Amino acid sequence: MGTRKFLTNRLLARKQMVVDIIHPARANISKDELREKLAKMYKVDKEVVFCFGFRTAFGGGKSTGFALIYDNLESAKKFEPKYRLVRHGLMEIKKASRKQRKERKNRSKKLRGTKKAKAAVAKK
Amino acid sequence: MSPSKTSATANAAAEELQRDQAAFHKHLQELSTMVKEIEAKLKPTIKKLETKEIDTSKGLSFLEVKYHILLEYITNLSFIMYRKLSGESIQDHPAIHSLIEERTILEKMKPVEQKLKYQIDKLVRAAVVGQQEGEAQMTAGGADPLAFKPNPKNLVLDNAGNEDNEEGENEDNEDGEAKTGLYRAPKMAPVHFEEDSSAVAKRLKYQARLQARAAKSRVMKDLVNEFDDRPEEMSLTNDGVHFGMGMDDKQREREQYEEENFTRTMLSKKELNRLRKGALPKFENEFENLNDFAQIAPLQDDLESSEQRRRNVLARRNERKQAAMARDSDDDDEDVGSRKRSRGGDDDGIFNGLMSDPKKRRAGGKKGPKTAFDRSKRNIARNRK
Repeated sequence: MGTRKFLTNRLLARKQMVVDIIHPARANISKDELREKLAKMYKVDKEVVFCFGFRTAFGGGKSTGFALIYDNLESAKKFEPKYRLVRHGLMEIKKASRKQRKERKNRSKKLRGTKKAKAAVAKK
Repeated sequence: MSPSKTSATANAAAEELQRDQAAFHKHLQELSTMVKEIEAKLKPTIKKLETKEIDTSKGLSFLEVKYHILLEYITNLSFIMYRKLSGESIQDHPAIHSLIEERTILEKMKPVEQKLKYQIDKLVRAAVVGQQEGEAQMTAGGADPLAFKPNPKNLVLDNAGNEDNEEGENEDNEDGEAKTGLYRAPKMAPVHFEEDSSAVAKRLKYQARLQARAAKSRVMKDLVNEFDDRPEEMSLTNDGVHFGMGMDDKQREREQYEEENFTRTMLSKKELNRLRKGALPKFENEFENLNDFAQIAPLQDDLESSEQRRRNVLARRNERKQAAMARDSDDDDEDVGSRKRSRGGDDDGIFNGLMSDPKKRRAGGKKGPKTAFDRSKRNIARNRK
């Protein structure tokens, strides 16, 4: 496993890099395992390592992706997009069920302008 | 409050009062001068009105109403100011009610005035113009300012001054075209605009394009790799894989973009299929590009043609010199400027020295080989060619 294009991003309190993994026998390496390896390499906690965007090269054996290592968990919670936090279990996005969302959308199609906002407030 | 503070405030108040008084004094002076000016300007008009020189019967009643209401408003306002100055209260005075009424009327009149603005302007212009040039002339000419619709006669009058110039120009144009007899097509469709249409610029552009194309060819790349000191770069993905038709470069560009911006691009379904199914193994294509010389061939041609042109100039000069020499000598069959003709040179064989070719140009002087000696000389010269 090698890292390329290493960059310390002080503005977002993190280090970002491109990760290349060679896995000759296996299909793919799970993100979890990768986080452990990176945490060991950079001597940080596993929970501040986020990796994403892994693509396996044609023919197999090699994958490339991105990894971010935050300085602390607070800055991670502040700067990371919500879906990645959900992946790690640090956050939960609560949504109404799909059916209910669609019903609400269809109800608001009958209204126009500020009445939509009023209806939304009334529902809550 | 402390005595110093009260005195300070009193001083401040006194200063303000003084400033106000000075300003008031100035305003009063301005007012008096302006009133005198207005009076001076209005006096002659008032006299004219009294002696009925100006006819006010054709005025707009709307504007009359406006003046009357304005006057009332001003009088009421001044009355209220007078009451204030003399210290009497103005609360619930009927003057205030009438002030409010008049104000509302004036504000409602404003938009109506805006709509009438065009007509009012026309009337004013008509009045002014009528005074200057006399009514009869203008109405006859068709430029009646009270008419609001467009009038083609106005156009004719405008061009009266320019007609002579235009005729002169038309004549010149016609003469010019009749002389050359050229028909110039009207330019209607949009065409690509070339900034430099000179031959030199075109040639340079063509050469630049050829060079760019040649740089992309496989031959050039191999040469560069051979003689360059830089380390060889291998891409980490698509190692044994190759896409044709310039997809390789696109793929490389995409990789570069993704790594730099730390994102992944979304590929359309077409692109995804092409990536997965359209990948060819790299080694098969080694033989496809063996005929890649086609890409650099035009470069060679272009180079040759430019050298040829240079050679042509010298060659033509030499030919002219030879022609001059040949005119003096016996052999006038050292053909002048026959470089072009000698390419299709089978005519020589046909006549074979029996007859001089009637098509060939005589350089002047001797008409042709009259004696056998001349003919044989010609044969020898031809065979040597």
